[in-house]
Amino acid sequence: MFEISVIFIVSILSGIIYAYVKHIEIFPQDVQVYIYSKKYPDIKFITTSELLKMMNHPDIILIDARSRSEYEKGHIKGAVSIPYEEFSTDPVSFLDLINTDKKMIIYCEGDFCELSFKLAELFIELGLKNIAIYVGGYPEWEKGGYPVEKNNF
Amino acid sequence: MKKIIFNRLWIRIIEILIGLLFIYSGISKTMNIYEFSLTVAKYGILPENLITIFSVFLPFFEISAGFFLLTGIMRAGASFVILFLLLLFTFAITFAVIRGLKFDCGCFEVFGRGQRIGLLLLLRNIILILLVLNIIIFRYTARR
Repeated sequence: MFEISVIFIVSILSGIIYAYVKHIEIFPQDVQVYIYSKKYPDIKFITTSELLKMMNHPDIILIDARSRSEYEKGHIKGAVSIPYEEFSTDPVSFLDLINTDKKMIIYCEGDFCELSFKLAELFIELGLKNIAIYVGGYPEWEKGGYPVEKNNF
Repeated sequence: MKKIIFNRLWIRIIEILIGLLFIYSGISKTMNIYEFSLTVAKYGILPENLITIFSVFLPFFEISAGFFLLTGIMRAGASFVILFLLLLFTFAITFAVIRGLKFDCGCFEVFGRGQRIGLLLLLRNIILILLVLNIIIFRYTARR
């Protein structure tokens, strides 16, 4: 029991020192946004209320990174479908959509869904800028009762 | 068989190998702590507000237990901590397999990407648990 206690104390102390040196927040306010913003420092993050204010702006393009079937079941009003799986294998067929100076806001299933981030990384590799991610994604938007579209082929 | 698994040299070899494995695993996680946090989140077991704290401290439990097992200082305590960690990982992987989740396990976060959740991973963990039990039984009987 003494040995386990020593290992426990050593581990906790090392963790505290590590978190202090690396400036890691142990209890961030929004865990998702905190982790993602640390992992992807070049990408901006927006909340539901920010998206609500921006969504009718002409310089915004809203991108749904989920599969086409999920998009057809329901998506944020005005969003275009660029499924990550399709874009990663054939980006050329989406050039018309992404060849723009507009600010691109990407979303997927929320709740630690990584499709948005993977798609954003591909956009950045292609030299695109002005990319933001709506972390809450479709579930949070739909839950909030905000405008959605369904079966929009 | 009994002669082999209760051989002092065999026990020392597996202590060194498991010790190194845990140090390597812990260091690889600390080198990419946010990637590891995301992996922890994907398991869907912990409440959101515990993800960061768990991701920060877990690697240090691996490193210190691995270090103490490797060096032979407090090896009994270290093997119990490692057994506990392995049972924890096995529970998490089993939970993910049952729910059909598919992603990298997060076992060796930087150097070993591509180890997918699955039965093979469970088998590896069970073998590690048996080896640690081998150490514990040997050390416990040797003390008496």
